[in-house]
Amino acid sequence: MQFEFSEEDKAFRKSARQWLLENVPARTPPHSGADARDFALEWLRKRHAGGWSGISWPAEFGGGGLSFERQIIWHEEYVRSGAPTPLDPTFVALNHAGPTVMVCGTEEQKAFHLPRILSGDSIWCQGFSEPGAGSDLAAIRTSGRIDGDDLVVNGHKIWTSFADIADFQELLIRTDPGSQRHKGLSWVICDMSLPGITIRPIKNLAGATHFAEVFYDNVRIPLSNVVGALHDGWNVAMTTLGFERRTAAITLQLMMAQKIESLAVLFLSRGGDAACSSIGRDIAIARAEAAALRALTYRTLFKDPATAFDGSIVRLFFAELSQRIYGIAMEILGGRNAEAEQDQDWVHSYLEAFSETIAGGTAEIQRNIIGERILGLPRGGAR
Amino acid sequence: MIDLNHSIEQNQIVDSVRSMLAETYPVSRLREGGGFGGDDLDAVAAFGGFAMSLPEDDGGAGLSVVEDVLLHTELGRHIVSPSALARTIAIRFASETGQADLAAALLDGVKKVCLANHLGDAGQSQEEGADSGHLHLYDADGTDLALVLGPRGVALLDLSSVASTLIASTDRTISLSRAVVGPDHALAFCDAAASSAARMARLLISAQLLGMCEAVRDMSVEYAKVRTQFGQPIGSFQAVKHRCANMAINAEVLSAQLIFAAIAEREGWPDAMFQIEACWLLACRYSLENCRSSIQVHGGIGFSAECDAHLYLLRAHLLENLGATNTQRQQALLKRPA
Repeated sequence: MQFEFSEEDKAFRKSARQWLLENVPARTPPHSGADARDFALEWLRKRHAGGWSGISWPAEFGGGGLSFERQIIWHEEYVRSGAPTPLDPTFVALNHAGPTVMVCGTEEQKAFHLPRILSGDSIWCQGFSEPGAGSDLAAIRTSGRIDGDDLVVNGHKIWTSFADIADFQELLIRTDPGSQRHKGLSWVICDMSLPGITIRPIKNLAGATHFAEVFYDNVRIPLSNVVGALHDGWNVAMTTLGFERRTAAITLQLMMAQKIESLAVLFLSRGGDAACSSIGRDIAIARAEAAALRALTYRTLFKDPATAFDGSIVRLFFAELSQRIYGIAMEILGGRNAEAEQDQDWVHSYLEAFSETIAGGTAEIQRNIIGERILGLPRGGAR
Repeated sequence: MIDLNHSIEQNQIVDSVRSMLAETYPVSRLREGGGFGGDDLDAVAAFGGFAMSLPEDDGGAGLSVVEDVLLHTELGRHIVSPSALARTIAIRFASETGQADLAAALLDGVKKVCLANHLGDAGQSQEEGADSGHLHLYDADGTDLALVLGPRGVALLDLSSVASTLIASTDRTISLSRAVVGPDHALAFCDAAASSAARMARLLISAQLLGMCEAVRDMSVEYAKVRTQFGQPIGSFQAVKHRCANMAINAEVLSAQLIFAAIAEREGWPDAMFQIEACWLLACRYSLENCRSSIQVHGGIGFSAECDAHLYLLRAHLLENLGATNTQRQQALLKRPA
């Protein structure tokens, strides 16, 4: 894949490549805990010092303000260098919380939080899902009662990645008592060190504990921490979904494409016959689909995220393709997949990939969105 | 950076192609009992459809393979005779092999060309072998030449001394003949690495398959909106809705890869072959998936010959076997450096 980049872009690529060569951490990133926090922040601080933090953020907020071309070049070089996955404890801050504060926050909120996010001084987690509000996010019940200058928060959030190591949380709660569904919610910055917050880690099916339940027992959050208008939290939460799904996904896609190439090598190294085997066929299809996913993503970049729902197609196609790839790896490994420790972490990745079609909107919800908003099919009766 | 979305001019081309096709080649012409006697391509020729990517000096519009891809996507939607593919590719082939007079004759329709599939010497497998072999000719009546597609690329065959036999066709909207060409009809194949016509063939086959992917998606969605059971449109049920969503994903993913591959070919990017092969593989796969799914969404009527879904399925099977088998495409893609 290649676009016609200018001479300046080529020089940019060279400097990105050189910087990454000299600075990419040698160590494998830890999956969870304080170690994961330290590792992620140190890597972000390094990028910040080198001028590579928040490359897609507008320059007025301290970001790189890079064009699509340069963002793509950066992502390509990032993956080529073997740098750690961007889905680390800094991901929510850089790709969701930060952009939301940029668009909807007050001057004070922007001035306090944005520099800290970019410089690797704060980690954010997301507090949207609840035990009774998963796919049906608008069923949120965690409440914030207004008391003087504070919101008094009570309730229960779940599936919060890195809650145990985060400094702040983007918290979506019901602030208008008696309100229903999408109305009466507020998007609030929650300091995770406040009294009344209890965090219970949840072990996932891969044996890792990077997410948690969070309980709120009369947690007092200043009203000045509301982002956007009070009771308008649903719209605030939706503001940056498009941002989240744009170029940040490119790194993950390129990493997946790399995995497919490794898979082909693994297959051939184990004596796989490209000519007539179902695995050879599956790898060929995966290669073709990874190429198509990039073409689809690049095309989506030029569309208005507010009106295009292609994000659902990109997200779903990526999710199911990655699951297929790790399924192929398990098949190639055969009996050896009983060994938890593998050269390339295939088994762990296979298990972690089950979240791809669940987190951030299940495959079923994505297909509903495609069916209803793109194709115009009628909604089902129950909703 | 190149925007992969259509330009305003490209959208205008698509719009005018659509109105030309809707008038001249409605899919209803192919239905049982309609007395369909084969497509003539005069309307496509009058539209300038075979001259789009020819240089202006040669009487063309000076556009590129990208615009040819847009046209053939629409031709696929209308299940137009494979002879349209043959004519576009043959003109390119004649031009690039220095046969300017032939290219002009094909463009003007003085010489007529049909499409042929090279089945290999055994008549069944498509293994590489000697130049002679078994051919299928599509809509060959009254044609002078065949544009032959095979695993080794494209070739032109003079039909004046080739004996062919009409046989029953699985795709009942075309006529099918079988021919065996001997050593005196040596086929000089040009392969995709060397021949832009051979690469164009893969792109245009993919384009027609995309058009079919889109057409059956649209048919299925429209039907799911109006057909009611249990007091609701069947499209409100997730089982049906998600089937339609899968068709939309296939069409969207394929269209992105197709336009990217076509741009890679137009611009001469070094990975053009990989992009084209990836596109071709997905086109064959997704079009069959969508056609099969469409029959299912239509239920009982989908199983009947009155529903257009099967017309698309049968044409998709014809197109997916042109020039290579699925296995050959997969092997090629596994070996190809990205």
